[in-house]
Amino acid sequence: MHIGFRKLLLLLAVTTLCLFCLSLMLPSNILSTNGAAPFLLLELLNDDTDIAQTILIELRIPRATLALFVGASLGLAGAAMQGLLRNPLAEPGVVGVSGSAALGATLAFYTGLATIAPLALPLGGIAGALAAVIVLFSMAGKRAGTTTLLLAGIAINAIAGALTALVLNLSPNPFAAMEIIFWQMGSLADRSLLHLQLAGPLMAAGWILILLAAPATRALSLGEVTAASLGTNVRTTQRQIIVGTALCVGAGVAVTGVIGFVGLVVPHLLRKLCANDPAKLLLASAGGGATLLLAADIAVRCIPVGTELKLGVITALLGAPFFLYLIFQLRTLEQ
Amino acid sequence: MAVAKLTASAIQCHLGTQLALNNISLTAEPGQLTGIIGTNGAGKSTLLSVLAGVQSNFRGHVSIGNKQLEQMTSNERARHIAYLPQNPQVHWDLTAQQVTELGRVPYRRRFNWLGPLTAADQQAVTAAMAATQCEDLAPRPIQSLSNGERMRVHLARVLAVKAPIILVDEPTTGLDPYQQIHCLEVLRDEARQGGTVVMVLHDLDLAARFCDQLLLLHNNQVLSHGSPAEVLTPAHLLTAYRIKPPAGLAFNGLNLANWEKQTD
Amino acid sequence: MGISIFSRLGLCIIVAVLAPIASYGTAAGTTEKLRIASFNLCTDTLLLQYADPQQVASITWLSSDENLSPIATYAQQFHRNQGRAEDILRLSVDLVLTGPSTSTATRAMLRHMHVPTLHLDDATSINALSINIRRLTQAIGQSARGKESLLQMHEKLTEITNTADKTPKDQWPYAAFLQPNGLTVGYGSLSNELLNLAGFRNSATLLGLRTYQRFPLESLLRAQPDLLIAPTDQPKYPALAQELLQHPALSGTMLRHQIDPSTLICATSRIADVAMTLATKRQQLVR
Repeated sequence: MHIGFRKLLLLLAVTTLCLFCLSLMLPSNILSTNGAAPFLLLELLNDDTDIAQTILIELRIPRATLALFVGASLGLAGAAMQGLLRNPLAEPGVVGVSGSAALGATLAFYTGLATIAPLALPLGGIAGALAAVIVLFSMAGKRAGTTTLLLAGIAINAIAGALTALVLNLSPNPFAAMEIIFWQMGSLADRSLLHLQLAGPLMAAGWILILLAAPATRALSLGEVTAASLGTNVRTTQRQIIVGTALCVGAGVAVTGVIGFVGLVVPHLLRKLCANDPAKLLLASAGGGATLLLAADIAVRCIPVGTELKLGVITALLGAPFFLYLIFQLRTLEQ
Repeated sequence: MAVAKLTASAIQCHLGTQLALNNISLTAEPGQLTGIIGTNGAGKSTLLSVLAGVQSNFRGHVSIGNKQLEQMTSNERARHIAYLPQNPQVHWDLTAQQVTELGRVPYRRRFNWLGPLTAADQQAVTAAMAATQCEDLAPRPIQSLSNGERMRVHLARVLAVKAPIILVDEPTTGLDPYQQIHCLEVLRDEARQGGTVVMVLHDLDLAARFCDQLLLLHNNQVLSHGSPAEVLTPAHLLTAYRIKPPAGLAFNGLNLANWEKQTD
Repeated sequence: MGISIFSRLGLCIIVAVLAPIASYGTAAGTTEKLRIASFNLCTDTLLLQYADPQQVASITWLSSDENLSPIATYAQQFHRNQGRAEDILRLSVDLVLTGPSTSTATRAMLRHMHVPTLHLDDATSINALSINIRRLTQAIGQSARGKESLLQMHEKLTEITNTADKTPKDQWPYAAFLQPNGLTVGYGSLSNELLNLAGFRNSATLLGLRTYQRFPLESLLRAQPDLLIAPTDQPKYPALAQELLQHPALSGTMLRHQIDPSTLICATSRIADVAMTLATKRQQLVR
């Protein structure tokens, strides 16, 4: 199936827009005995008590916008990490970057730092993510293979997960210990405009940094030395991708918890459609990630399963088998 | 094609704590094929990477014409020097066409990375693929090609840069005789058209046959330089490689002039 | 050699006669000197309310937390346990109070150690609460206090019913509980009964929500309860659970009644006060 790149981008943009509107308008499924609420649009039109407006502005818009932003960030960061480490299995969740971001965010939140300075929440997430990417890059950057990368990811995930649980258990607030589920499984439920304001600009800054490094990822397909001989500033490119990924993932995880596998599934599905061009793949993955997360969030909110499922559960159910499949593929290639 | 003389003077380079290059100087003239030979570990690849401008940890100067390499921007340098390292890799499943097009990276405008190639770029790519005879390989993924075909594509990428200076590190590794000769013929053609070509070679016969001047490295220093006849003497070969001609036979020098490439 | 058989017989008779007298004496003073430990926050609260200080052997660490216990300061002087059998090994404990949160392993261990236990389930109705208070006060030898407390509670509750206006139930105002994590109360819970007693209908039951289910914010907005009952402001240490209660979507015109969460986490006779406050709020609303 050959479809031009511009057409692909257009398709992704249109799909994202449609899903965004659906996310705003579709009724949530509630366990009501008087039938499901109607399409929000209808409510808005005959709204004389401002309720529909409040729902739209305070609940639906933040949720849909965050799904879009975080989805785009995760897709973009996944493609960027794969370009940086030159490995198709690199993904923020798998290699521990998301887990570390969660650790940074929980430290900022449960110590009360974020209550004094709200910006500390996303900044904590970014700090955690940055630490993980730097460690990964120093371990698996040069010539290390898939095994080293995945082992490093396992180690980082284990450390970050254990420390997060520790922070939550040490919190004097009795509810804290149970909130590990939110941090490790991710959710967009009841996020507010404040969360969007805190994380949105930082994620956007991450996008800009990564996209600045986009053309260089092409030259990097030939290896660092050849890329340098073609005039690419390899150090700068690496720094842009490292910091950009930390900004995207860190700010996102700080307000939604860990949502994994988006950056693994999306670039892989879109790589062929981008003719293996790592630069084009960055843009396409952003769009694909936004689409995927919006769709998953709509599913979580609107499909009745008793209490609302955590978003990370859906992405894991989709992504983990995919991950296994990718590993098998790589193994056969190596043989 | 623009012509440029490549000069290196008093190069001193450390890799880690080890001294890799000790006071090396060389001059490569346009129109000439310069070969760098020596045993493993003598510093050949390191020297080439210094000349290419991708090694930063060295003392001494490298100049293109009258201009020093340090004074050039990385983009300027990239347009003047095309470099092919040892065992070149391609990380994604790119086609031969895409790999060759990467040779035009120094000419792409910074923020126009989504746009198609310019006419000049297209022309350079086509010419490069024609020169290395890999037009029919264009749509095939490079990882599915044989060693010889892959090397042709990498060479095409180098030629696509249209740089006056071409630096190639052991291009004939793993190739069969036909492909080895073909590869060096392409490089010789570039040189004859005014390019300055510097190669690291392992094979002394090929070096003797194709290079106009040779640089023999031994113990991280220049043991000898000059024409192949001047460099490839029994005395030098004994010191550098610890080999000697068979006893009793008069030494006529290496003589591959009678070997020809088999065409079908 | 030694004690002759007559002396032994005599000794036996003396012991046989005196023993019942002695045990009667100790029996009469036994319940007052009974040392009781509690392994559950709610039984802690009841124990502290009705027992003499010297009867309290140990209570859980949760009771010292102001957010969870209405008598946290008073509770701080007592020995703290973590709800484990080994915590009371060195104390001479005659009775252990357990609740639903005490693990089966702990209860089995207490049985194994031959320590008498009294298990009280969380009260889900006023009636159940009365039964709990009666059983507990009897077991710790403070029946009188228990009876008096229950009497006062029922007096207050009857007063509420008597002073309530006679509007039919389908015209009552709505109220909704919103606890940390957005959890609400529904049918079959004590809080729901209090709400009804005070003259409110519960918005959650309208949507079929049960106790400890989340009340989705959207549904809450649509339900438009006349009164939103939520816990008092932020605790000292943050958690996401309380963040939900500060969501901007709730900052609208809904009337809020702040309630100290510790008054409702565990049911005590003071629920009557809670019901009275709610009834007063209702009168303000209806006016």
